Amino acid sequence: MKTVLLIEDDRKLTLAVGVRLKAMGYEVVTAMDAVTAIGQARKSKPDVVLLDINLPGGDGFMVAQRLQGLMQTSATPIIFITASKQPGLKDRAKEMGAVAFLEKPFDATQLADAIEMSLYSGLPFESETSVAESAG
Amino acid sequence: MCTLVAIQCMNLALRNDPVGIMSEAAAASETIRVLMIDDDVQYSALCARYLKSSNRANFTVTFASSAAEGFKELDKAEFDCLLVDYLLPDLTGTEVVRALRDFKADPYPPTVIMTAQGGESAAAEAVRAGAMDFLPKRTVTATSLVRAITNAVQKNSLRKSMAEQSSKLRRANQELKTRNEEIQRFYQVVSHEVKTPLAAAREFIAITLDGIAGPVTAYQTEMLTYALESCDQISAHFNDLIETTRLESKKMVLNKELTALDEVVTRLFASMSSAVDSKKVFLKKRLLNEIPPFWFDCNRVIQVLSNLLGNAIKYTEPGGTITMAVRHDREAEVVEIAISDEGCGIAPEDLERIFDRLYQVGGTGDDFMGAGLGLGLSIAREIVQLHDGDLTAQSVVGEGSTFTVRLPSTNPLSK
Repeated sequence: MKTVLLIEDDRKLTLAVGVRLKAMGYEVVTAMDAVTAIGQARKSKPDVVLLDINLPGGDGFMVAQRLQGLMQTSATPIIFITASKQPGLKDRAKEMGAVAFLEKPFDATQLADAIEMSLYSGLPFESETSVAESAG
Repeated sequence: MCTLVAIQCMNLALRNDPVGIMSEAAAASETIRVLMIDDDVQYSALCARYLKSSNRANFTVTFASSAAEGFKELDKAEFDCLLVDYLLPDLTGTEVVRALRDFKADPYPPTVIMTAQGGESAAAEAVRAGAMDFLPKRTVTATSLVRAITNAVQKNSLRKSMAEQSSKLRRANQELKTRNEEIQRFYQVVSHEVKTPLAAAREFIAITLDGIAGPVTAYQTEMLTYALESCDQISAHFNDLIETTRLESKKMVLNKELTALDEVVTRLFASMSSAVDSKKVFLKKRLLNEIPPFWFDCNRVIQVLSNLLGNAIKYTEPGGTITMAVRHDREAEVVEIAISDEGCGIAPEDLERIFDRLYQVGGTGDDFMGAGLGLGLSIAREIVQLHDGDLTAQSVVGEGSTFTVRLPSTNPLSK
């Protein structure tokens, strides 16, 4: 069974997404702040990380950087989740090597697609829109 | 040197002798402080006499024999008007005006240039450089001199008040801009704080709806579906608010790439499929001719077309058809995307205003389909306009509506 580490500071959203992920057949471990998240990642060696950007104790980008520096999680795919509409977040997520970027509220299909893509294909997100790169 | 001494004496004499010539004009309420820069002492004295004899204003005159000396006087005291001989020993009148403009703090006093005979073209040049007026020295009379100076002072005070007005406007504009940015930040914060609990609520509803929390009856499914739609509506409204403030503050930047429209349409149709299925309408695509790849912001165009298709689906009865017709007008270098529905149509009085911000058809917003904030179409039009395109609507009540997006197919880099 694949393990998903869900790092999200809203208790109810953690509960809801946790229930959904379990129903999809994943094992779920959670952390509600940046510091706990690092410890939890080291301990549980997740197959994929769902990472909120606004977190107490340090933002999601900082957590991602720490996770990429840890032996246990250096290659673990990261999916960012955020409620923020601040411009530039998606680009930063891309730069950090995230496999997907979900805006809250997201639906079960988006969540399932993002996780499956990160687990089985490893393609960077939105590769389908990069058709014009060679011409630009 | 001799001239300089003479002028200094004259300055002293005039300052120390308030009786005499000055007293004649004392009746006039307004005082106009004139700085006269001319190396011809006698001519300067003549002009001073002309001014002092006027009862239009109370003139005080200070003398300088060169531009350098004039600038010294300007540093010492304030003047309402400068009377400058075009040919000074150190600078020309034009150079004096330029130096004033470039080195003296604005507002500098208005300048009237005095020219020798035949010096009109030089004087015109000085006026272009910023002098207020010019007078031929030979034909100067008391009246023409007084008129030129009082006119220059009046014109200058008008100019000053206009400058003040425009700086007031600039400040007000800046304040509005700041205010707009504050509103934008406010929406962003509110949106952020609302969306996390909204995501939780939506997910709990979805979990229940999907039967993960136990069996659900058909009636409960219907109710929960409405709840889910309401969550999505709240989310969409916040997105629209943020988009509107972003467009208003000109913060939206397009990310144009050379893109094949057909691929975009395929993606768009896939994303609309659940809405199409649940409304039981038909969605058709008609490619009228070959569309070459062209430059546009793919995500923004998808946003526009989703909005238009979403509306079309919303207003089309089950069984109805929505058509997206795409064609390339090679001559006009325009790609035209027309979305037609078989909905109830839009009344002419509404059609005029549907692109206005916050305009809601029907106005009340209590209809069961949810009228929305009235931002969607205004955002769509602004995004299309950012592409240098246009978005228009035609409609016949009872037959349906067509929304047409026109985007230039020209390469923006080749302009």
